[in-house]
Amino acid sequence: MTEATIVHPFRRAAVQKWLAVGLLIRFIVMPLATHSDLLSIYQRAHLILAGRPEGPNINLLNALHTGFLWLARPLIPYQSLWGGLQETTVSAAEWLNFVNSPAVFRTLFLLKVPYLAFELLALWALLSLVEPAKAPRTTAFWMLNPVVIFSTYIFGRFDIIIVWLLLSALILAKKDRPQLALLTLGVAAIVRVYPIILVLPFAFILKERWQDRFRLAAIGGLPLFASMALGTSSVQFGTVQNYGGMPHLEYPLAMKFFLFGQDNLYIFVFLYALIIMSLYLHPRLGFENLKRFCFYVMLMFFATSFFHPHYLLWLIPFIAFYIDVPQLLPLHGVQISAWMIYTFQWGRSLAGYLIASISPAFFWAIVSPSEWIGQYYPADQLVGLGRSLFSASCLAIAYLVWRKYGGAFNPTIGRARPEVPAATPAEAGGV
Amino acid sequence: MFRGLKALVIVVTLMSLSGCVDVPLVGQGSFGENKFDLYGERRIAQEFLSTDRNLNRIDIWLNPSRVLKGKESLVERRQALKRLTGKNVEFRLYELPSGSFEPKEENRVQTLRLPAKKIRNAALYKLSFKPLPDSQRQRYLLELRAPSLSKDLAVSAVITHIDRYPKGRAILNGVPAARRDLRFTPFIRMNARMVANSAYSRFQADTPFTLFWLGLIGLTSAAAVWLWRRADQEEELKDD
Repeated sequence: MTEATIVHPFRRAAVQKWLAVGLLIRFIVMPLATHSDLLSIYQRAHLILAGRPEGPNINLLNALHTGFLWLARPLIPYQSLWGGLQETTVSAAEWLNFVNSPAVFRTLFLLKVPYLAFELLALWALLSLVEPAKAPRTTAFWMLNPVVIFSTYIFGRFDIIIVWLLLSALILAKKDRPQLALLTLGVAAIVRVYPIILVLPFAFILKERWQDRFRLAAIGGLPLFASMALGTSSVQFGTVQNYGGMPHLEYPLAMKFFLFGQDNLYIFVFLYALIIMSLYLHPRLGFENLKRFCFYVMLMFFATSFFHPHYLLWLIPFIAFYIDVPQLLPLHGVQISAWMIYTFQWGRSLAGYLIASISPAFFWAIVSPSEWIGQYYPADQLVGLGRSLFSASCLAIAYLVWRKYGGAFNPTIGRARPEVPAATPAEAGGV
Repeated sequence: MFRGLKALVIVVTLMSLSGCVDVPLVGQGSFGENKFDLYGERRIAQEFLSTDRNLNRIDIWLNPSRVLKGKESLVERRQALKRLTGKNVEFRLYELPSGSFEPKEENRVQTLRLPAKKIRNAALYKLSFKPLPDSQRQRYLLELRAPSLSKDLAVSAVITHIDRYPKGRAILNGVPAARRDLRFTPFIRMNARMVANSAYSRFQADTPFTLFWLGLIGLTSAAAVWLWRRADQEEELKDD
């Protein structure tokens, strides 16, 4: 056995140095930035802690945050911060009061500490899934990735929990525990509904027999459907009747071709169905295929669906699996740049407001990039251009991975491809 | 990826350092539609407190001249606008000694004129001037008058129906009006230094956390440097 297979990557100095640099960035950012959504989720936790009957449903997400808030409560001026809040979402005035509070830095820091713990768990899981030799590069990629820092510590969203669950599902799949993998994926779907789109690739790739596939798919869908049946899903309004009205369910259907009357072609559904059908027609087994096809599905989702900027975090572990593919990192750079432009559509709430705690008056008044650009060029067009570039980069990344690891119908997918010997000068037509 | 992050940092830093952000001190919003006509000797004033330095702008809600009312066609509007040519609404800004609301000529700090023909919609009109460095905790009186306008050409300001701005009051033709305010918004120009001061005072407000946070950053920085060197040494040993 080599040293690399014995020692977990976290114990290697080459990994630890990136970990330290990444932690430094996180510690600097944690108390300074937030979106009002962070306050809203903890507001719901506060209502549960206070035992308000009109409060939100106790679902998995709210229960987790209730625990986080209970732990942080002795260290923050709880009454002055939460005492007056009654609703399950935070209004602009309440958010302004919060960022103006003298304890805002302390509170923001403490409320994000659980996310940091989940991030370290996610990184641990990620490094368990990559070859030991790639660990330092993967750590650097993860710890310095602007999407990770933005989603978790600037926007302050809980998507890192979903990423950890996704990676845990992949680890379980790699360890040949398909039922547990699907159950974990199902739990992730309770927190955010979208991981449900990975249930079918998991079921098709982890099992060959139809009965087994059905069973796996049922296990994957069980937590979400059970929570819907119990009326305590991640939907804020929490009932089965309201579930269909969630705007989130419309996002993957946003890109469509209108054909006639009620006849529409939904692009994401169309591409998703093609990927699943390809798995049906040309069965692919093994962990490498699982990673790759999940990556394709996620790329298609982001290329064709409306999404909130912090969702992009879900894609980052999959990019991390393939950072050694030539030209992938530059394309990811293009993807992130385009994503930044895409975020302009949220105006000031994703610009100055994010760091309003530093100087509320200044960052409340500062114009957003779209307002500034709007003086010279239509901002909605620029956002559309950024979105188009983003979608193109998603497809280009899918193509790069497809090119590197073989086509969808190549039976050697997932296996090491034989090295092609370099052509001799004579073969190449030289002298 | 790194380039994108770098660009974002540069843009944010430049925007912060440029000092080009006008920050509102207070806003009256839509708390009233009572009009106060401005023409001849009529004048409306508002006293207010500038809580910070660099007072540089005041936005005032104005309604267009009566003569424009109901003039839909281009020809009619042109004729009406012709009558407003060369006529102005005048804005005077005075420093107020404490306890007084009587403007004195020697305390006048700004005089601005807005051509009446430019007031074509009911909207907030921006009056900008060079930032006043000594405006912190200074009381001011903003006075509006339009001596060149006759009654049929009057433009109007708007006053609130509640005491929306408790730190000052409206003064109508020299008489203080209780529980009434002009619909206005004063601004200060915040520069990078003021932002830094604001952040500093906010960190100062929670010293235990600030010390903990700075200590954490210091320790993590030291750990990063140490681990970086150790990783380099391990790399060199491997090469040997």
